Amino acid sequence: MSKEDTIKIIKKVREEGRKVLTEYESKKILSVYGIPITREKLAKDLDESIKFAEEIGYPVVLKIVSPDITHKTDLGGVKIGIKSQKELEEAYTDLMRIKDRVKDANIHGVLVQEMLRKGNEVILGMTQDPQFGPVIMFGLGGVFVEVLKDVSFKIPPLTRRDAEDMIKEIKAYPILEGARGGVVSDMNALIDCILKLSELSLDLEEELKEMDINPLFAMEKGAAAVDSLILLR
Amino acid sequence: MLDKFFYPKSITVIGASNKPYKVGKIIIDNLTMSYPGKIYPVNPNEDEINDLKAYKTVLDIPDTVDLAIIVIPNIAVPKIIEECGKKGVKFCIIISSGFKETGVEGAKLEREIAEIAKKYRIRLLGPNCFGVINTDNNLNTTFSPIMPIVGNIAVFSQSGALCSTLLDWAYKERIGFSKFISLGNKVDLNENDFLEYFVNDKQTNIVLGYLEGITDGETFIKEAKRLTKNKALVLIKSGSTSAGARAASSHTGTLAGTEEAYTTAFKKCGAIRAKSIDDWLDIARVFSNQPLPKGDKIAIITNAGGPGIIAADSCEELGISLSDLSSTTIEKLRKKLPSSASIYNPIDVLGDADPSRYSFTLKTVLNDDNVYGCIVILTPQAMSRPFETAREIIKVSETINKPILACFMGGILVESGIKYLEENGVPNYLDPKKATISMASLIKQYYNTLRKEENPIVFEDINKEQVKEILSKNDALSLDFIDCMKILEAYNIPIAKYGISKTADGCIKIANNINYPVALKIVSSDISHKTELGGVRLNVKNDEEVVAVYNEIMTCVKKYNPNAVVNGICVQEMIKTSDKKEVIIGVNKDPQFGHLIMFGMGGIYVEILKDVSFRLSPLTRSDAYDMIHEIKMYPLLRGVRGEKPVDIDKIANVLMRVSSLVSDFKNIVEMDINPLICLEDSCKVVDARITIKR
Repeated sequence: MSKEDTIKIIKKVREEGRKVLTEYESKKILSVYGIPITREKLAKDLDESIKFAEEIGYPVVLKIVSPDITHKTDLGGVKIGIKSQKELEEAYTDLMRIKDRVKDANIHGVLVQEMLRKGNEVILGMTQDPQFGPVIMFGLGGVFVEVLKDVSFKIPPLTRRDAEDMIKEIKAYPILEGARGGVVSDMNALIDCILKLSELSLDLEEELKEMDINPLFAMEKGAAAVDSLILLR
Repeated sequence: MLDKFFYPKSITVIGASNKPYKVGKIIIDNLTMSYPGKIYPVNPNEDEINDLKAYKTVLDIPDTVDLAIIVIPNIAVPKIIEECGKKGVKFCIIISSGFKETGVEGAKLEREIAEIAKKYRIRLLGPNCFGVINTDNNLNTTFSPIMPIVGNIAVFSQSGALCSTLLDWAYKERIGFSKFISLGNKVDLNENDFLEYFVNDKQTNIVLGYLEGITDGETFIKEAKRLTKNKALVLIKSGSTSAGARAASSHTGTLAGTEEAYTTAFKKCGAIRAKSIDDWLDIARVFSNQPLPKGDKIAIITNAGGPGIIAADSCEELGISLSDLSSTTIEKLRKKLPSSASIYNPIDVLGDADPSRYSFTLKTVLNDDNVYGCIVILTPQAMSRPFETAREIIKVSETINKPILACFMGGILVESGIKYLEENGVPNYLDPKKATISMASLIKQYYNTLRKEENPIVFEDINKEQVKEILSKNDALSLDFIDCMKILEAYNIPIAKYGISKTADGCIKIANNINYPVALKIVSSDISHKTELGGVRLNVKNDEEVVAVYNEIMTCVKKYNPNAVVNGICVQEMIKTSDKKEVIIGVNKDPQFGHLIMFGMGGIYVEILKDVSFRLSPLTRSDAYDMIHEIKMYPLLRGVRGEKPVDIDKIANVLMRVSSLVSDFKNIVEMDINPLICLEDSCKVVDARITIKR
């Protein structure tokens, strides 16, 4: 895929009268810019899900893909740690029940995704400031961002040094260094992700309103976007 | 007790001199100039000093002596104190230096004079001090060339240089003092004696203090609390940051340094802490001139947008609310002010505001019941008449009993207005932020006056004897896991079920009694951070896993420290459920203030984010709840993203029980409950460490 493809994805979303990209679409755009994403495939039905799960290898994660459902987790639209075909079948049935709760939800399918273990969850985001244009945000995921608002911001374009500063600026930084026997995160991979997001934000400045990669898994070697959400202007 | 100290009938100056520029000369000059009581100079080489008969020794004075001022070389001081004792002198002020501040020899000399004084029941001020001033009876025992004007501010300071600075500043600013004390080395009389005195001193309404250390923390809190109920106590405390950086083995030890202890103590007793000399003086001035607001809501009146916003921002930072004006007030303002004026707080009376517009607005706003005080900002504009506006402000201030702080900003153009304001008791600030800091201090003191005494909870369902027994049979300073758990149980603090065994079979038996899954932990007083070296394994699910994990732990430990004494492996109940939260409760004994109790979220939050709160023991019920609410992670305990909340009452109960335990056993110097696992309807201690001092 190339940068033109991102425009195509966005165009198609707009044609459908949408402003919100699904996880699958969002991550396609990320991968065009070289931000690594989880190995994943969009399955149309149960049989395809089983096939993809075998290709990817258990354990897998199953996620509902629908432009009408932005808070998947809250609705029970994410099933993690699926270890066998039997568990997959159960999870699939569960996911399909969401239709009862969200009437007329347009379901694109089910995303079968590799299950990453051993990593720190970070969040990488972008919002548009009326004065300064795109602003990049970095923080540790979960409660750190939600309760403590322990995040750092910078305005792109960013240098490697900027990206490194952003990472080190947060209070929870020692966790990324592997505090208390935790995982030591791959600093270069994180810096690369920030720089690529910076490039993406500037290229698509006219199109994007805000976006999140949450979580971005920062592993000992490499990083991968596990979930992402892009909102158009 | 200090009546004769501040109001002596007769004074002697030992070391009084006729030689110009000598301290003994300046002091006798100061005294003879204004002090109306009897003065007896002592100097073996003079017959007469300042027209007064000089005596060879204090014993030769044909009268009783209440107060002796000693200005002689350090080495001669012990002999002089001895003579004062024989003479029956009640108080001595030792101006002379060359004591503790100079080193070991000086410290020895200082101890010597303290002992002599004690023998004769003489109370000492100093040594190495600047003296005392009482404006009520014109007593000035200092070598300051300035006699302050009469006022309601009392000062004690551990720095003599700050005393002379403050006297000079106050004289220029026309700020008056009641009593002025230079504490010096505090060999006997210290801040606590003076706090106690100021509680009932009719001349004093505000107490300023500069402290480098506190002599007795417990008394300090008691006396300061009594004082702040009616009078403001504004303190500068310096030199407490690096002292706190001592090596400690527990989390609480590293986090609960001296600085935290002071901060917590000041909070507890209602002292206002000034962050700089500038703040100290600003706050002193506002208390000496302005009444207390009766609440935390104020109005801001300004003739320019910018400074108004700066003041509003600073109010928010300091926890001051901007009053919602009543509809009557708004209606009145709307009628009189130009249509483009902003009539919502901050009230912008516009750049062309003249004195009468200021006066009308200030009066209207202060008459609103939702407004407890006002900051009036004036920037010099073409139509501003700062002097006349100042006059109007003073007129209003004389009729309404609410604090008014002015913020006339600029230089030459506002100078005359500022001078008029300050001469008439309305303090002016060139920076709106400073005005808000002063206002916040007034508000804080108002809430001090409302403070109700709350007693710590006394628990009946505790077993003191059991703890006493465990502590007395212990040789180690750091108690082992079992003793820690037994102590907690004795105070009815809930703990996770556990058992200890030295064999894998024994562990299996315990695990089956508790029910799987269980956690396995090494028990050894030689190993303090169990987790990092693999001494803790969670979620052990069956007999086979117990055996495997048992062996792994033993291997890890041997590798880490082959000489570690292993008391066994603890098999402990695993608290299952995803909605559990880990918190930490710690205790560290501060040398000044006693047990400092710490609360925070466990694990990574306490270690990396240092998100903890402190209170001094004994905890009241409100202390316990406030500590829990204060941490940034509090929302996590209330449940975020659909998680269930944990039982806050149960946590507060554990905090109060811990406080009760350490109050009963003062030899506990450090304690960590880490973690306390909290659930929706209960909480349980999973691990604890206690360190005692013989």
